[in-house]
Amino acid sequence: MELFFQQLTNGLAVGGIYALIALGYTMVYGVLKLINFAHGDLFTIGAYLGLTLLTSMSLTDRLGPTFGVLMLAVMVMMLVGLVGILLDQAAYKPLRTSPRLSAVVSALGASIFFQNTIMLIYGARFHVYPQDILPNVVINLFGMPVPLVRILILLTSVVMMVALYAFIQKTKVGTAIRAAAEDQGAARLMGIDVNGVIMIVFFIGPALGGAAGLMVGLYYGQVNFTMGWIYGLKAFTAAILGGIGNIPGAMVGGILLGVIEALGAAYISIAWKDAIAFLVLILILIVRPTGLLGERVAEKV
Amino acid sequence: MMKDRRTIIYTVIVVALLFAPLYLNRYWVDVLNSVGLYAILGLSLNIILGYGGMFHMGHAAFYAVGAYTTAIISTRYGVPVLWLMPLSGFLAALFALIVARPIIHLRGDYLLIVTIGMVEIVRIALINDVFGITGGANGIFGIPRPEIFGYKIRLPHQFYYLIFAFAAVTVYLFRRLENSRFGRALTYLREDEVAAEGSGINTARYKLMAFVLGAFWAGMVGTIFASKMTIVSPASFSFWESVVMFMVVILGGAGAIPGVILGSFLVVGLPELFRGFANTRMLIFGAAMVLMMIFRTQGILPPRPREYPIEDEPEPASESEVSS
Amino acid sequence: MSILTLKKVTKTFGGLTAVDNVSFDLDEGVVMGLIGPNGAGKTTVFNLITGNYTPDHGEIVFEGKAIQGWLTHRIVELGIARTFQTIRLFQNLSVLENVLAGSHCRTKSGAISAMLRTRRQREEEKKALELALKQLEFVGLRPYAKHLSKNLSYGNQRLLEIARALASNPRLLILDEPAGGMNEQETENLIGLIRKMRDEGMTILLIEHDMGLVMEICDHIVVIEYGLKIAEGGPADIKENPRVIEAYLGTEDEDEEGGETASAETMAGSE
Repeated sequence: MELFFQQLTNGLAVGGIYALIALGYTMVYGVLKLINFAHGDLFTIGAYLGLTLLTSMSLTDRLGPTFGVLMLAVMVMMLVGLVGILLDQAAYKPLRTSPRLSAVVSALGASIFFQNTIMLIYGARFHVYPQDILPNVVINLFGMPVPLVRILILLTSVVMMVALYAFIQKTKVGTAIRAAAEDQGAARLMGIDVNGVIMIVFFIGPALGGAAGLMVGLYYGQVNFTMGWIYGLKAFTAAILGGIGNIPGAMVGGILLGVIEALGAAYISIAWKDAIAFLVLILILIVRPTGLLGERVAEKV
Repeated sequence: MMKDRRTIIYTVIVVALLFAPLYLNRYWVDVLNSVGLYAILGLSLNIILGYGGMFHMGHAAFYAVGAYTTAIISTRYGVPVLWLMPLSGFLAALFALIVARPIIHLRGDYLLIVTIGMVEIVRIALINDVFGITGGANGIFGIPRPEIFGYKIRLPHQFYYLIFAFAAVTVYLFRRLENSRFGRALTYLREDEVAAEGSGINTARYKLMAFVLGAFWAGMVGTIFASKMTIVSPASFSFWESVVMFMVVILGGAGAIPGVILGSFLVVGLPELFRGFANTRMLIFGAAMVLMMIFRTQGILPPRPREYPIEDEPEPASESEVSS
Repeated sequence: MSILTLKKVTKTFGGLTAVDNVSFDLDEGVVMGLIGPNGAGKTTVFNLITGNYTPDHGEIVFEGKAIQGWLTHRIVELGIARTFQTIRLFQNLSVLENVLAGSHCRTKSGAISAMLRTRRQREEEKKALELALKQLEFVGLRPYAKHLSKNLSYGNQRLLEIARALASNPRLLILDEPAGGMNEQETENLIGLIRKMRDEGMTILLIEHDMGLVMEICDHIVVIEYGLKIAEGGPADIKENPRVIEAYLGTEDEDEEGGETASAETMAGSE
């Protein structure tokens, strides 16, 4: 029971991180039908920017842990969001009318570019996050000890997701995003500034990814320039699992994947952890070809 | 006229490749060997991705099945490696048949992630020494070198001729395949699946056949790879390998044999040319890929229409909308 | 001598019944028109016959075989070919290659014989090519054989769809709005083609909004509205059928192209 509870909470925390990254894939996909393969590297950039800002500006010393980390998160999100917009302008915008796979290869090129840029700046070794940022407290939840960090991670990702969902559902900009995702041509005819929408999407998605990078740094305490690949792949898996293009789907898919992985690693085999995640994905897609919350689109004849 | 020019260019390239090992050092011959292997892998993936239009990013799995088949049987039973080429191809094809069948109906990006998942599962299975025969993370050592009529192939330039001979045979056969009922069926499928099915083409079967044939070839390349390296390990068949093959096909020109070959020179060979830049070479390479896609969105050498032995007939004067 | 029979065929999408208990017989060698207002379920009927959809209930019998639930390519193989309302050509392929797609199910050679270029494969290829050219000749597109199909005019694209369907050597040809987007002269030409096909023994089932064309060439007409069959008979009977007139006049203002309205007026006028 203890093991189950620990793995469940761990899975939920990791799942929350997956979900945040998955949102970036799914939002971009929704509007552009593009798989942004460089998204995982934006997440890495977030992790490294967090590290640099943390150590160079000593925010937490000046502002205290809570406010300092909050400030840090805002800065990381802004910066990574800007990188996201730049990425779109440089690598994807010229390819809007090209075959879809060309954009995929451009995305892969951008990913290689980012990864190697990070490596040139920071080097290839692992970097360690300062350990004294978040209080190393273990609290008691339902009679079980749980690290406070884990709960904070999960809470933060849930808050961000709820905020995003409210933004998408309730605001005018959110409505424009949904309209552009539904039918770009029609949205344009209705007077929606589709280019503006794309820019916003390329800001929000990477900003959330950057936040996830920061969270991984704080949670695991170390970062590496290649970490974006595996997290990106997992998050993409989560987005597909939920039904790509679907925002609640990315959230559900992310959390589910995190939990499946954690429990699989604990009860089946840690060596097969990654394989279990993919196996579950494949099995679900065989039964539901467009993911859990994806719409079933019948081919029009 | 255009055709004559193409013939000349191709002849020059073939002659240059024929004599390349004579004026290149070992290092560069080895680079060309990699280019050759990826060209064949790219051509095999091209059947699925280029002609059939199926987003397949897990081709390294089939390559791995072939390489491991060769490694296991040659080291355990002492079968000469080249004899194992058909068997490696066959087992890779069989594997493709089994795994592709349930996922073949998935569309676009869903297929993409599932094939990525497949290659990851294969890699993890290899690391975990599945069935106790794959040697775990270290892989399998001591794979024998190939022998042709008692002549042992060992040095890079010897492998060069083996690899490029296989590449030449592949190009020869695949060109015929491209210009056939089979090749056309895959193109119809890529262009419009509903219309293809409505024209009487068994689309599900052709999708599967494309996977089987592509896997067969990748499996055979696996044999050459295993005997060239004399060692196989899971690290050689990562998701990244699949990405490289994917890029070879799309960058060069999906569905075009010359395009795929050029793609393999660019994706595999180009980073070597930047070696002088040491640390920044992969960075430059990444940026170059983005630029190449922007300036040649259909790939560097996109496919040309098939040619048929038919006479031109004059158009009626009344038709004015027709243009090309 | 019926070649195709629909027996109480029903198809629902979600809560909507697109085709409701429709039955009819199509006799061999006949040109039958399937008409009805927009959204009446005509194309759905076609999609059920060609296996794009599977009916919820009912039977579809072609030459004595129940074919409901079959995959489309098997139905084509059996002898039913179709054209699409929203033209579905292989846009980036040549006109000739589009027609060759149709002959696919009448040829056999596979990957291996292609790579070995066996004698049988070469002969088969040559024959398929000849046949494709014959179909192109028949619809009058022979001069455009090497053009990309997306560069053809709209009317010619419709003809190319017919040529592709003919290449599968069907006994029943299903045409979904073959005259859609055609000018008067092209429509005249199409009528001639349909007559020629019928004279060669082909059975034809068509959906068409151009009532002039329907009344001119159809031997038999089935009318559906809201998925239900409301009338059936020869052109003369249909023109006088009060339910049909009502159905058509009722949709007058919904019609965006004016084609239906005009024909409904023609029908009312000829009463």
